[in-house]
Amino acid sequence: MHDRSSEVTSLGQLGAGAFYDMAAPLVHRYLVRACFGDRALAEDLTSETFTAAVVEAQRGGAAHVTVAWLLLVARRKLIDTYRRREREERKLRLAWATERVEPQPDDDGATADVMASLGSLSSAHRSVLVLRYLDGLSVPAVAEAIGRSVHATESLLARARIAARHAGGAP
Amino acid sequence: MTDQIPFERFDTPMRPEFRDALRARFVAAVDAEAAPVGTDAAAPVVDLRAPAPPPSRSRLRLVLIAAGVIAILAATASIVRRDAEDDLVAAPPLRIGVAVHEGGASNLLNADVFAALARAGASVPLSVAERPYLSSWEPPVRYLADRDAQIVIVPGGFTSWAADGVAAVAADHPETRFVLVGSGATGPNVTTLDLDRVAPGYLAGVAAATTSESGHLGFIGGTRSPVLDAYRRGFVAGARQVDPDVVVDDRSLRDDDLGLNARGAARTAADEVYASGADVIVVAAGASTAGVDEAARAVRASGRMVGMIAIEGRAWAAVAGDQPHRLLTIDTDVARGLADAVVDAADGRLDAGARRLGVAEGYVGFEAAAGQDALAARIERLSQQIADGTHTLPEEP
Repeated sequence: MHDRSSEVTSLGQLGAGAFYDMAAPLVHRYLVRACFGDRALAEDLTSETFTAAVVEAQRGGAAHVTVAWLLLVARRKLIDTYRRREREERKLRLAWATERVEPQPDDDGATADVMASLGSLSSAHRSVLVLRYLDGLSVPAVAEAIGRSVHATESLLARARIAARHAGGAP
Repeated sequence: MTDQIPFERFDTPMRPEFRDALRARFVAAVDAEAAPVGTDAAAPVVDLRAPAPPPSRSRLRLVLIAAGVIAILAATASIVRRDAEDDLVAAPPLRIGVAVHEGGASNLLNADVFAALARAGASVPLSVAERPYLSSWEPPVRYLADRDAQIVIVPGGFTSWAADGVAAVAADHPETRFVLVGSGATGPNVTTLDLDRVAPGYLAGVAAATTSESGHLGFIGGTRSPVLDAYRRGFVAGARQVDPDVVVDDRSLRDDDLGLNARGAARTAADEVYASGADVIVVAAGASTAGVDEAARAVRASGRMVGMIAIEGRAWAAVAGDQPHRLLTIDTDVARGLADAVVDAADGRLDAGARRLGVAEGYVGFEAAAGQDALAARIERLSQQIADGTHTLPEEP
């Protein structure tokens, strides 16, 4: 098999050590930001992401393990974590705030400042803010990622922005 | 809001002890990969999170002590290395601003940018800040330039409208260097990394027409843009070079760049194209490529032999592993091209104007599926002929 294109970035071409040295800081950096600075969670998810890379290599797919592949895995694991935490939070809550919030249009100024804050948000709010503002996904893409309707996602996003604003970091 | 961009805020280095411990486990696990994994598919193959079996409290303490000793030794070695390197690298970090493309970490171009910075960072000290694109390019580019980024990187990619945002800001910031992955922006402080589009499209067209048995091909583009139209023109020229009578079913998923992340729409379009009689589809559609993967696999599962060729689509597979339907994947090594540009900028060797990341410059490569050795040899030979000028691309159709 001829392969020049992936010689810079794939696990199969670089080997484990060099690939790790290149990719690990990127994966970790993404996860620290996506976890709102929760380094313990970021380290756990970084480990899980590289575990997935090992499994893929064992299946004969080392040539496909690239930085982009790792980042997609990292995002999926992050979403799974937030979903799991959200379920746990639901069990603990006696009541869910049912304040109805109309969806609001996004604005560019919302982005980095939202990301700068807010470790106290709920897992549901965290996940939509990460997907919308860190990963820059469209609202329909966010909805697909978290398994909700577009309308429900818009409402959740609006509530998340308000929660972020109350927490001190959002516009 | 401060006037100076807090570059350090975005720098989140790994804890050395975590980095080194995970590295050791990862390298050991991958290097052991050649050994039989075991027969129980349900059993966890490997877990890098902690040594197995799970340690008891007392064992955990021992593990932590051992890890601490290792970390101290590693940190000591690291400090010694760093002291030595500090003598050689006394320059302050180069401040890089990245206008992050839509799709964040899942966007191939973003991943290329991050990989490029990791590569360049091995030889040039860098400090990186990001600002995401949401609905236009100018605000993030201006944000980064206003806050003293020395180099602003803009991964424009398949779309052409990033050039307007870069050009508008570059005129106001003559001291800042702007690097656009894409084309169309000009200025004394603007460098564009022009991806070769016609030649990769041409290679894809030759490969598609060579492998097609029906003489009926499909082309699926993610969006309507001059960039994708160049791929399309190259594809048609290459296909007709092999078979002048070839039939082409040409589709675009959307008019905007949401078509670059529309897996479902791509699946639907590919299903239709295969159903119309095409047996090879060439796709240039970013993350939507995975939808064509799905369609090709589904059709092959029904017993009909079809294939696909992906342009700039190596990261977007529906599944990893064996992919016999992917006859060819053609990619530009944007990460290497951008890393070269950043290192050259640090050395004062980055000129304004266009840098071409093309076949002739050695930045375009391909990967053929297993069993496609003859096809790989033909495309390799053709690439070399294009590079050395002995094969001239025909006029665009």
